[in-house]
Amino acid sequence: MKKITALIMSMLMAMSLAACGGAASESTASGESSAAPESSAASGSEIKMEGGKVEEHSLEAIKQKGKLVVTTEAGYAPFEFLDENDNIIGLDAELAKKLAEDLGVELDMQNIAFDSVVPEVQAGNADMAIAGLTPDAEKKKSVDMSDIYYAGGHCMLVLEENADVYVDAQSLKGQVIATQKAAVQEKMIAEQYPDSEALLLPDFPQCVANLKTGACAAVMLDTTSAEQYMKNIEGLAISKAPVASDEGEEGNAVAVMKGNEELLAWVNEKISEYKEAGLISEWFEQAKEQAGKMGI
Amino acid sequence: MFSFERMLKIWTKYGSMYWSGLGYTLLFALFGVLMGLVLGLILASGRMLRTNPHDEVYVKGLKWIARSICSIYVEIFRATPMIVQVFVIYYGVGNVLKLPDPAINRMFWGMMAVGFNSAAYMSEVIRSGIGAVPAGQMEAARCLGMSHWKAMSHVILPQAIRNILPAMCNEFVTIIKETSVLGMVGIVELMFRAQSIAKQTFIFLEPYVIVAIMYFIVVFPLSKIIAAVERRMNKSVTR
Repeated sequence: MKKITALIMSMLMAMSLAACGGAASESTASGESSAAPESSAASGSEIKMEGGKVEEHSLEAIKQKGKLVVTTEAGYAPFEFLDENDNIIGLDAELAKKLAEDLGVELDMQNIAFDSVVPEVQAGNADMAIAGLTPDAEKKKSVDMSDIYYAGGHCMLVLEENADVYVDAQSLKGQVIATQKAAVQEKMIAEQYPDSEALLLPDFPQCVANLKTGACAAVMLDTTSAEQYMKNIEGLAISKAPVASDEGEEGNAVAVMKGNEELLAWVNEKISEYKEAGLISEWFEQAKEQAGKMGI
Repeated sequence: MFSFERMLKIWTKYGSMYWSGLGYTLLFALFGVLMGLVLGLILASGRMLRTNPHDEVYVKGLKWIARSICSIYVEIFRATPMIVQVFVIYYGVGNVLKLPDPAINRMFWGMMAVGFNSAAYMSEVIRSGIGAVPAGQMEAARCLGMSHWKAMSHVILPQAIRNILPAMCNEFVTIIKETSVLGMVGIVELMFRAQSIAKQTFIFLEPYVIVAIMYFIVVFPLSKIIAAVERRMNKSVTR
């Protein structure tokens, strides 16, 4: 009994200590206006904690830092993937390289988990994310998306022998469709294939591995990487099952921090410049060729 | 299905990536255990604070607060999974107290998470090691006129170390294996390497078998050495 009271007392003590700490940080955050209501001061400091500062990621700040920090998830051939020496290569890597070169700074490309790629930009740990990101409405709420630098649709990848079996939503009813967690396809499966079961995995290679073992009936992914998988792995086919995407949401774009208009405008300008110069398609062909050499 | 030939091919092509991953894994484990040892010592002494009847009231209060904080810390870290701690520390603390370089930031807070976790277990190892020395030893030392601290350093601690050392090495072994969760926040250790190799090759069994073998090769001799040390230390006291 004594011990229990002691425990409760100690918990109360810890909580009151935490409250003291909070009050202290509030007063520093609100500065002179110490008369501000407690709740508003608390919520104010919370917002500051959540996101990074736009000023730290302006063109000027990046030049001053001397490096452009880009997050990606290098398991998405031919957009970004690793060669055997652990370098990130592919279309997006080339784009990042060229952007850094045009800024006159070094490129620092960070290979992290896909569901952290956008949050890291939000938190201000990176200047931009280039990871085959689709500019859908969901993402635009948390980050600003550039113009599309590579346009491509989505499709349903199945085993060759099932290519004529899974042809529409009806035939996929009750079946498992795999896709990458936090990718745009997650939403598309829920909307377009509501009667199918979604299997969410950390990356697309794992989805394809599950397809091969029969753990899922189909994998929803973008057509370009589907074609790449068909080249690298035997026995895969694109089914006729339709996958629609919303207007303006087809393709890949660069993500920058919400409100970083200067950087966004510059990225957009550069993207159209590269497109005109034919650089994007050149990088794409090169990336496909490199991706063809993947595997064992 | 598993193919030995495929495994060899992966090893010849990506061996260097595995090695660098192993290097980081060991670095994290070593740092984590060292930090855990330092912090664990503080925590253990905090938890072992005892009030004397002749202490002033405020001394009693301070001791009680210190003891409570240490106990709460240890209980929280022992009652939550390490992977949760890594996420909370990296995305919570690591986002507020940010180091300039994102990769270094990630590594630093990853290391910290391992260290904080290890400290909780280490403090328990130390505390139980001291607690396992029979109470009569302390009483006898005090009867001979030694002060509490002198009795501690000359009688209790030398005996306690025999209990603590093997358990501490076991903690090191556990931490080596536990660092594999750091890959989840993008820290490039052994498991993260295996994952990226699997992604590149579209092969999901053999890269992980290689990792299993590597962990085993590192951990197995270590635990054998620990067992040998334990036997050697017990020689002087067993008849």
